[in-house]
Order: sequence, then structure tokens, then C-alpha cells
Amino acid sequence: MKIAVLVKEVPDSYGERKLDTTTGLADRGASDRVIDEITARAVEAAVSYADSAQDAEVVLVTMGPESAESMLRKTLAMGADSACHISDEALTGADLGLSAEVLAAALRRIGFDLVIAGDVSSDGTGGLLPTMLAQRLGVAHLTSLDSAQISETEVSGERGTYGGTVSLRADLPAVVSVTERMPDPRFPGFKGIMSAKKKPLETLTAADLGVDAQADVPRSIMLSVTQAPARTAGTKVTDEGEAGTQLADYLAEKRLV
Amino acid sequence: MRHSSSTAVTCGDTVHYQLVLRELREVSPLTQTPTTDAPQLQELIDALGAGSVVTDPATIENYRWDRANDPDAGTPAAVVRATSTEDVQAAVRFAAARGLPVVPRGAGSGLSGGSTAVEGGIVLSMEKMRDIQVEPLTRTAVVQPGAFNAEVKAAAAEHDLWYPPDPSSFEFCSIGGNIATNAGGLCCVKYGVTTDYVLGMTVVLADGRAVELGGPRLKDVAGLDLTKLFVGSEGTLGVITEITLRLVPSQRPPTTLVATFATLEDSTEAILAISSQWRPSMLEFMDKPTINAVEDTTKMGLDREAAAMLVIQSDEPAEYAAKEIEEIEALCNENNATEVFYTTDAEEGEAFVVARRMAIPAVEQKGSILLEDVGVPLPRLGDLVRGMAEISQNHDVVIAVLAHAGDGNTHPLLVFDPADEDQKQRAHTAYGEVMDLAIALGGTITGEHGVGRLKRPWLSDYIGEDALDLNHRIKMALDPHNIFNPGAVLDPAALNATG
Amino acid sequence: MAENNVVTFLPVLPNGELVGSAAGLLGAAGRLGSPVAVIVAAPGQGQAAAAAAGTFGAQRVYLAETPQTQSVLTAPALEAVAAAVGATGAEAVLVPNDVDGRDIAGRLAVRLPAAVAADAVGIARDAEGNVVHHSVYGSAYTTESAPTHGTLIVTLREGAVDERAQAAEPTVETLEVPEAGSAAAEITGFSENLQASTRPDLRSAATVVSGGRGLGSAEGFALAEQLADELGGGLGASRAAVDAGYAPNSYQVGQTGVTVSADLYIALGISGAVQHQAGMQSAKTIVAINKDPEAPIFDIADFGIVGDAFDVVPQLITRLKERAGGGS
Repeated sequence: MKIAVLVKEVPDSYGERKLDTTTGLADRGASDRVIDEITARAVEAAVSYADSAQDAEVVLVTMGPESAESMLRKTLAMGADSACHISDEALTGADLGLSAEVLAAALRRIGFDLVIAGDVSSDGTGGLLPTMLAQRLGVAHLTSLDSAQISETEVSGERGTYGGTVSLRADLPAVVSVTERMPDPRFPGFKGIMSAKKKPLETLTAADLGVDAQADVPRSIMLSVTQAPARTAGTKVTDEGEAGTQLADYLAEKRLV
Repeated sequence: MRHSSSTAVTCGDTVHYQLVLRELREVSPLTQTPTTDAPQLQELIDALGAGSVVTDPATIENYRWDRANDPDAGTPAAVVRATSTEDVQAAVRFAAARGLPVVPRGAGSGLSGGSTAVEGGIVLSMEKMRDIQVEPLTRTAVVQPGAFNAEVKAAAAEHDLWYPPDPSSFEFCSIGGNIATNAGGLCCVKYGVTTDYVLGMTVVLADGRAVELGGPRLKDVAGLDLTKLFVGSEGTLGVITEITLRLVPSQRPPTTLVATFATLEDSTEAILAISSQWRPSMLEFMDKPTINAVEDTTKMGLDREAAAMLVIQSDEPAEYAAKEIEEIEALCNENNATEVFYTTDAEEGEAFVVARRMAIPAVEQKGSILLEDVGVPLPRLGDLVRGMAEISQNHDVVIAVLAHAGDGNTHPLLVFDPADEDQKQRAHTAYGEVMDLAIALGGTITGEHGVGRLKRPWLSDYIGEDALDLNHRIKMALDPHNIFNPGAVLDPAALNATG
Repeated sequence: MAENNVVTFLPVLPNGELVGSAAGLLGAAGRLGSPVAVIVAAPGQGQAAAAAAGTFGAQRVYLAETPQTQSVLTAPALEAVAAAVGATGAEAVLVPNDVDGRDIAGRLAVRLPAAVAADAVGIARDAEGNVVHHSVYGSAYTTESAPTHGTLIVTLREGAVDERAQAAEPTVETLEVPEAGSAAAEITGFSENLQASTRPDLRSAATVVSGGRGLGSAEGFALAEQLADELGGGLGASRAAVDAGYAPNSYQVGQTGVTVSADLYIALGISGAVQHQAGMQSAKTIVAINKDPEAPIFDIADFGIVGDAFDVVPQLITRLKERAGGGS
């Protein structure tokens, strides 16, 4: 049983995140680079299954800059067996379509029975990649699972939907994405920390995967980036008996209700 | 990693707990409960400016408690936010002329009720006095009391210097409060406590005079060492308005070791062996309930059967650190350590230390907490830990013990269900017995948090009548009308008897 | 004629009604061209939904009624949308940015293939075609994206578009949805949730209401609970409130608790100590209600009210109900 987990390095959403307004790329110097916590939950799901299973292997897969390697090492310490790092200048600023093409190629090369990803990244907030991979790989998807049960032959789980919860199942191979409601990721243990640096970590380029980043296929391109005006002190009113109404109108005006 | 990196800064020994000490010991009420009417306050406002004097009841409410959350906190007549030594002098003169209590306050992160507000008094807040001047040539910093410990560390770091004292609340406790309680922390085992870094200060006395004590000099034996007298005086002798701190070169990246033991005896023997032969920069102890609470929270694979775990660091230069840690590893093994890991990588080391940093947050998940701060001479650490295990059994209350083991200072956490009145009572009884035990073992009732109001009933049992009398006489000599923080540390009734 | 068809997927609720985001989706579609609705419903539920789509401005409706909506994940809707795109040569496809919408968009983008724009907050046309607006990094930045060529697929953030299309009398065409292939997950059950149990997770909730010691008691804390449920938000608490026993530990927002990632954070009776701010200051919009005019929370609040939450919140809820009743 081989479980591939998609992990992602993101700017620390606890700190200030910046975009380069000329290139439209993330300003990597602006904030700490950390593992997207939801992908850490995906790792937890895979590793906790591997703990209980006979011969389950967990492979971490990420596409990102060189700096992502230290994130992979730290995540290996959670108990994954190996990692695959796709790092290539040609993939800088890749859109969802290209990212899906690259990751699908990597997953085919690695081989998998189950792919586990986070449902929505804290920086891109797209939530499309897992299903795009399922389509490319020709397997079923079970996305945004609040809980998941994995077995040798199938995966099942529950996800929230309008007015309730649906239960899903599919035979393996399949692609799963998990939500923040999955169990907290474990902290790396002492043994894991010590063994992480010895675990295999493969670095690949787009060419290694036979992907042409320049191919003339439909892409989404960024036209402009504008920094929103910095947060000002804001409105402060003293309740003269109308503040509740004022607040309701404020929220409605800002489309927050 | 997100979760570990984010929790690495939440190592707060910042347990907020409620004590009903009056159920345990008789504590005399304040002898004076003065009241101040508006016209009187107007004089204070005229003297300091409206911006510095707070009378809005809703705002005052925020100044009644520190993190001890004493249920008997009073409501002050006013809060003064001093911006200068002169402001403090004016406020003290105003209060002295009317016999009003003055409670100095830093960031309100105290754990012993040392800045609990007094009814009808004045809370003298230092929150606006936060200047920090680093003097690289003398390796000193001149700081105002409202600055946070973390801000002092950061200012020093800009000059590759370091202010070592590291109370776990360093990110939200004031340096003034650190001086007032002579705060400690994790690195004290090697680098000492706050007082070891205090070279001088400006302090405002009960008669309104501001005196300068000490200065940027490592050696200074002229006259009594009054600087040290004010360190740890918990705001009962005067109001510190400026401090000269000693700084040292930046700390080297540490080598980190963790070891687990099957019995408490093995672990305390190892602590003794290590601290009698080596000088680690961190030597922390966690007992079984603590280890299990941390494992419940972190799932990091700690040995739930282990009776104790030690987290040890050496910050010596690399080659020597390796030797020191290897020797320490050998001592752990000689004392039957079940598992030992160590790493010279600072980042991996921090991931090791997470186990200790998570201790209090993890135990807090188990219920309401009473936090102790008892310390004993190292050879008695084993007796203390075993004795607390007995107290835990006798009262059927979980006592999770973590300790700055290298200096014998322990933080037993008594866990109880606030909804279970009986268990709550048993916990409070055990709280007292733990301090009685420490005293019996030649230890102290508080190593780094201070006596404040919560531990006052145990002070005389610990220091004895003569030392207590000496405390009273010094207090009365400096503050004859007991206007500074009345009710903290010393019993006002006993003071009146002295005076 | 070069009619610019915009295929818009409208989810149908278990009770047969269209999902709340339908009006905004068709409003956005109307902005780009002629709104074509795709509705996939259980047998017998489609016609009503199709009619409703008309009132929101659908010019044409492709309707697929199949029991598979309750037994197979995504595939029936995907097939229906793909068929509609084929039939209309649509230039753009709009789906709601919800779990089902994302699944359709992701698979369709690979299948066509087509450029896809995620989590849009607006959409417009310029000389060269469709332009999508995004709000990123907790609204610290706004970005514009566009497809290099071909059909554009957009997942639209719910509630982001206020624009509404003219009501229309749509022509309804029935689609036969082919059997789903093997590579699709089965839906093995559906359980309706109660409001309380669907209160969103504190960490990921778009709206979070937190209560502090200012609420005065465990009973008073119910005010935060009431507002949270009114707004469909997560429920949080300050450390002081947790320590005072008003709320369980798991509710604690701050340095030693949860860090929220909310669009809207409403703090009731919370002073906003540094440790609390560490857990919520990245929220997009911060609203604070506190009696203390000097509460630090006001320094970072976009909208601060100096007053008693017990006066302000009930009035807020009443007013929100009025607005909702007003159909806005």
C-alpha cells in the first residue's frame, strides 16, 4: 500500500504575507515559510494509517522552491518514508493547470494506491488541484473529507454539504482531500527527528517528468496585483442606542453577512 | 513546522487560577480601606494631566487583577499611567498625603497576586514607560519598567548582546515586574536569575523622593547593597522607574539532549550527577502525568510508561558542547535511562524542547490548575517529588510536576475539575501541603513567582519569626505608613503591630 | 449572432430549492453574456428549480433529472455541464466556490482543457475578453487574472457578487446524463445536520464570534453563541472567558489556543490582550464591542463599538433579520 501525500510550503498565515506587485509572485522574504497546516493533517492521516497497517509506505510530494526542502525534512520527521521535491525555475508562477500536469506526472512516476491532499491551501485558496489530479490520473476523488477511513482496498469518509453530511466511498486507487476537521497533526518525535535527515528525498525538474511548461495550452495568467490600502484605525463609535443597527448596515455593506 | 513553531512561543507558565486561601488560613483584612472622592482626584489630574489618570470604571476594571486572578481584588479609585519618574513622584506624594494604597503594576502577568488592586487605592501602571537604551561599550541597557522582557532581549540582540533571564512569559511580562519578583526562567541553572543582571536603578520612595542606586558598574561596594534590596521586593518598598541591566554576549546555538527514566529515583540521581559535574544551560524535568498530558496533546511518541523525562541543553562552543553532552548522556545511562537522544542541530533541538514547552498548555487541557513554585536544595529534589506523589494520592488530586530541575525549582500543577467542589477543596488543601512539604525539606515556597498575596500565609512558616521581623522592620523603615502594595508579601496587621 | 453563452451550474438543495448563491452566479453570468443554467436534480425536482433559475435571470436551462445525484459524486453534474458547454460553445463556465462546484470545475478544466480561475470575487469583460478579480492573503491584495485563450472556468466566492440579472422566461432543455464511469466515488448516505452541529470549525470558519470576560458569566456567554449561530459562524472565546469557565478550553482563541482565519471576526467583551490578538489579528475584518473605550482590541478593529454587547447584539440581530426579510 503506497500513500502519496501532497504537502505545500506556504507563507506563515500567522504573519504578514506579501506579494511582489510587479511579478505577482509571493515575496518569500516577507514571512516565514511553513507547511500548510491542512497538508500536515493529510500527512497525519497517512502516517496514522501506516502505523496500524502491515506494509504501508508514505511518500511526501511537493512542488515548490528550493526552500521547500527543509519543510520536507521536518515533515519526514512525522513518520513519512520518503519525499519527492519538484523544484524548477520554469515552474515559477505555474497556474493550476500546469501544477496539476506536473504533480500528476510525478504521482505516476512514484506510483500510488492513495493520494491524500489538503482541501484548500491557505495561500492559493483554490481547492481545485485534488480533483484535477483525479481527472488526470483517471481515478475517483473524495474531496473535503471531515473524516476518513482507509483500508487495503478502499477509502471512505464524510464531507459537509448543504444542510447535511454525505458519506462517500471509492475503491482504490483514489485521490482524497481532507479538511481542518481532520485530527491535529502529530509533533515530530525524537526518533523521527533523528531519522528524518537519512530518509530518501528525490528532487525532480519538469523535464525529468516530461512536462513542457511552455506548451501552448490554455493557461490562467495574472494581469495585475494591487495592494489593498493598509488597515487603518477603523471606525469607532460610542453606542447611543443605534450602534447595533449601524453595525448591521456596516456588515451588509461589506458583504460580510 | 507550523504547529510546533507556533507553540514554541507559548511555553507560558502563565496558568491563571483562582485561590480561595481564606478557606485555608486566616488572613487579616486591610487595616485601612480609605476612600477618595472626586475633588481629591482632581488634584491628581491637575498634577499629571487627564491623559495619565484613569477614572473610567470600565477601564479601571482591567487593572484589578494580574494572572493570579485573586477573587478578593479591590477596585482602585484611579489608575495612573506614569510617563516619567516625575509622574511617579507626583502620584506617590498625592497618595502619601492621603494615606492611599499604591499598587505598582507592570504588565499584569504576575502569578501570585502581587499586583492585585487594593480597594480605594491607586494602581500605578508602568505600561507607558518602555524606553530601552542599549550601551554596547559597557554591555549594559538602561530600561524603563514597562518594557517587555522580550523587547529588552530584542534590543540587546541588535547589538549581538543577550539579556539571559527567560521567564516563560517573557513575551508578555514587563521587565519591571521581573525585577519586582526577581524572576527566573529556564536558563537560570547556568546564567542565574534577574538580580544577577541588575546593576542599578532609580526608585521612588514613600516620601516622593527619587533615589539612584548603583549604575553601569560590575563592581560597587559603597554602602549597603540597596539595589538588591529592591529586587524581589514586589513593590512593597518603592516604585522602580528605571533599571540598568547587565548584558552578555549572544548565546551560542545549543546542543540538546532528552532522556527518559523508568523510576523517579533514577531521574533525580541523574540530575544530581549532572549538575554536580557539568553546567548545562537548560536542565528541565517532567514527571509521568506531565509526559502523558504532553503526549495526549502532541502525539510525538513520548514513552507513557516513563516515570520522568529530562530535557537538557549545552550552549558551549560546538566541540566542548559535544563532549559535555556525551558525558551527560553517559551519566543518564549510568542512572538507567531507558532512552537517550541528542542533536547538535539547533532546529532539531528546538523540536526536542517542544516537549517541555508544551507541558503547561497540555496539562491545562486536563482541568483547572493550581500552579506551585516550590524549590528545594538539589539533594532533596527526590524527596520533594516523591512527597508530592504521596500528597497526590492522599487527596486523590492529580499533581503533574515539571521542574527547572537544575536549580531545584519545581512547578507542580494541581489539576482539578472546577465543577467538583469536593475535589476543588482537596486540591486547595494539597496546594498548602506541597508548600509545607517544601519547607520541611529546607526548601522555599516560591522560587521565581513571588509571594504576592496568594502565598503570604505561608511566608512566616518558611522564613521564620526573626527573618519575618527583619522584613517588617525594613518595610516600616522605608514605608512607615504601608502605602506601597499593602497586603502583598507582608500581613498589614502584623506590620501595624511592628510599627 | 455571436451570442456569448455563460454556462452556470446551480446546485439544488435536498428540498429541491436552488442554493442561495444561484442569484449571484446568474448575476455574474449576466454581466458576461447570456446566462445558461445547468441544473442536475433528483427526478421530479427539476422543473421547480428551472423556473426559479428563470426568476434569477437564466435565459436557457439545461435540466438533467437523475437518481444518480444521490448515488454518484460529481459525475452526473460534470457530464451535464460538459454537455451544456458543448451544446452552447460557452465562453465561460461559472460554478459556486463550494465543494461540489470545485469538483466540477477541477475535472472540467482538465477534460476540456480550459484555464480555471479559483475563488473569484468578481468578473468582468475588457477588450480582450473575460477578466477575473481575486482577493488574496486575507484581502491584503486584489489581483486580476485572465485565460490565455479558450473557455474560462470560474469558481465564484459565495456572496461576492451583488449584481442581479433580469428575470427571464427560460427555455428548458432536458439532458440525458450518461452513466457515470467507474472512476467516481459512491454516495453511500446523507444525514441532515442540526444547526448546532454544523457550526463551522473555529480554525476555518469564515465568520467567528468570540466572547470575553466582558460577557460576565457563562449565561452571558450565550450571547456570543446566539450571534455565532445567527451568522452561521464559528464560536470562540478569550482566555479570560475560558479561565472564568464561560467556555470550554477548545474555544480559546489566541497564543495558547486556536488561531482563526476568518473573513469576519466579532469580539464581544474582549479587551484584546497581545496573546489574544496573536490568534485573530489576521482576520480580514475585525469588529469589537466593548464597554472599555481603551480596550486594545479597538486598535486593530475595523469597526469598534464602545458600548454594552447586551444592548448592541440583540439590536444587531434584529436589524440583520429585517435586512434578510427585505430580500437584500
